Amino acid sequence: MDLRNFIHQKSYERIEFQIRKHTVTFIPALLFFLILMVVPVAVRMLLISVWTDMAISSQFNATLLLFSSMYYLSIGLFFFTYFVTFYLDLLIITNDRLLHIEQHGLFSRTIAELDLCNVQDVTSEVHGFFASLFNYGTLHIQTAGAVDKFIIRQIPYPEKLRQALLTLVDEDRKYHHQTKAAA
Amino acid sequence: MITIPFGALLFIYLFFMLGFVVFSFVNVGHLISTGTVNRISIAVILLYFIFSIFITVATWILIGDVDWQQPLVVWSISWLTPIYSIGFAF
Repeated sequence: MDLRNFIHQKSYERIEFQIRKHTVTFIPALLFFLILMVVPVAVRMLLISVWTDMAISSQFNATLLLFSSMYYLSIGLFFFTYFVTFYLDLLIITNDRLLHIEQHGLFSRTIAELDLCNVQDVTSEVHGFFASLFNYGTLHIQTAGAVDKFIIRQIPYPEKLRQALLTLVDEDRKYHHQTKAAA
Repeated sequence: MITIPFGALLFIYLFFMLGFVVFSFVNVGHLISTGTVNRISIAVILLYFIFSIFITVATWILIGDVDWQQPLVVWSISWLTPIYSIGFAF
């Protein structure tokens, strides 16, 4: 399925921005995954050092092998699921609206939509050493809609996006005024 | 002494693999249904499948010469013997 179908893109609508969380924010999960990869090797070494006679048992080796295999496949699945939830967190800005798709887990997703003409105020925030170094941060969008505040975390270049978003809001307001005046 | 065939462990592995395959396809299905299939997601899917196939095939090869008919001792009273043989000196 195309993303345009997923968001039910209108005929006059064009996608301006399609933003995911900054790639750097994925690195801690990657490191955690690499650390978890070493655990079965460490456990095997520990067990062999404690029970030296067990190490020669074929039952012990086969059992350890099967459980290690399950462990590696589990952490592979955990990593893949984390990637999917990370990658499906998406901010889509069109010339008409803003869509914030948040994937909380494998079976939990929130999609929030905001008409650009309802945007009241946009604030960008870069906080912390790594955020300043790699230029990612949080965007706070104050709205006049049902959801009073949109908070989008760990997005790249929040200041540039804030400016671009305000420009789009102005253009959308002008468009709405023109269509009202014409009617 | 309670024993079970050592091959019973293979059934545990089989059930695990069923769950693993289902969840893997749910993940891929999510990526396809949301229209986020691009170069990055395809690369990660490929890496994931290569990793999974490698682990499964390596396990299959390494357990090839194991005798799965041999009994696996699940419980033996002799395991408690060291506890009974503790002596107290007064």
